[in-house]
Amino acid sequence: MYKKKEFEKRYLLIIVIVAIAVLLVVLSIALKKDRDLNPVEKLVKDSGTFVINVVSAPVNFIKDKIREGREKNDIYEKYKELKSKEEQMDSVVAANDNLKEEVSKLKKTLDLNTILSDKVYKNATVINRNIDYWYDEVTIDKGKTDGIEKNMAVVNNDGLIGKVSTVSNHVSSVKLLANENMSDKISVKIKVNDSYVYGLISKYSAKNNTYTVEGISENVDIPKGADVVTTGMGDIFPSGLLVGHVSKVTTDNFDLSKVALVKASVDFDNIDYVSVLKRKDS
Amino acid sequence: MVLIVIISSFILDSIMSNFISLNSYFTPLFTLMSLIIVYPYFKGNQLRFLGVCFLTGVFYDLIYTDTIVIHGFLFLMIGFVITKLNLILANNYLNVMIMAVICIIFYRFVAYGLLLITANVSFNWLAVLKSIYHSLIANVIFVALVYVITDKISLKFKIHKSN
Repeated sequence: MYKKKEFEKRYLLIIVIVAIAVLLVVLSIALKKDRDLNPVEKLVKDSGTFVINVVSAPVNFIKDKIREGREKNDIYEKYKELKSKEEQMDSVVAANDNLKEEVSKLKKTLDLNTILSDKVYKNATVINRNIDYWYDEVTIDKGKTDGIEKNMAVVNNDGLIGKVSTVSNHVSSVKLLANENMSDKISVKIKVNDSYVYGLISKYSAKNNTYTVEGISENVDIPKGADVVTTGMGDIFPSGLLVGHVSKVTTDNFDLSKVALVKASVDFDNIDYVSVLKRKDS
Repeated sequence: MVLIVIISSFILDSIMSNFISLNSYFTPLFTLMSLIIVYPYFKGNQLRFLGVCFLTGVFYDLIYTDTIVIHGFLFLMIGFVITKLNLILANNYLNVMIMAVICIIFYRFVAYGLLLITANVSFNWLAVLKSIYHSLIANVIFVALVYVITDKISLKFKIHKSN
């Protein structure tokens, strides 16, 4: 009798250990970053988001009206700002046309089909947000049927906000750069006079809305307020997307390279409309 | 009652997240909180309650986090904690708030532990503490409010719940 009990206990222990191991395997598969959604997940996500979207429509309507009201208050200030910019507009357009022509000529001369900054846009609206610390993501109302694909860069008016992490048929999730647990380093360049110095975004701090850019050459003096843009290296982000502006420069622990704190150009608390960018196919 | 509370909390989670800032002290976990509220309506049928917890977690995963079962298991564990807490604490206004605090702390620690084991986050205790105190205020207020509302509704419409 005693032996039988011992035997059962041993079996129970083995079953528990195996169950925990299976659970961990399932979880590690479930949490895999490059996992694609299966058809059932897509169906539930699409229909669930649709329902949430319909139910929250009145709240979103009120939110939009409040924002409109606030914008109307600043309308005269904005008019003055735009008026001053309008005077420079003609020369900017002319310079832009000239640059476009030069780029196209150079592409022909060098027999290039695409360059790092070539991109096409797809506009989308943010319909949901998961601000949980581990998952900082937003859901947008465009999916596979609209041509959205995984890992496409996502921007708003102020600059780069993140990349598409999962795609369903009618909605997609965007992993924000405002993620303190950033695991993918992003290659950026900082404009110093007429040239660029290169670095990698390694961290984000939600407290100050700043990125930490590491690996910058020690011999360069970086001015405060310098523009930081993507380099286009890697498969995801096209070149020239504004990331932020340098707010402070220090050196790393070993005095071997410089570390820049970059104030994000995007206000991550206020993301309503975004554009998904796709690199132009060659 | 159970369905109404869970579904409305689920949707409120989404609406609220559109309004609050990243560094906010009002991070919503309303779906999780709704489980504390609905427990007495199962009148001691723990198995059914745990099943509902698991299903809610699975839907939470599908809509909000794009993972498959992680919240299914997490909510199941929280459901188990709620059943145990209800054995010790009577179901009243104050105790529901205490349960909410315990559940938030438990949820954050276990979620962090799972993500740590599966190598999805780097080790940072401060991050866990931050996630806990950033979620306490809004959720404790929410659970207290919903408790009062559901209590009044169940009295009015004579919907029985266990104490």
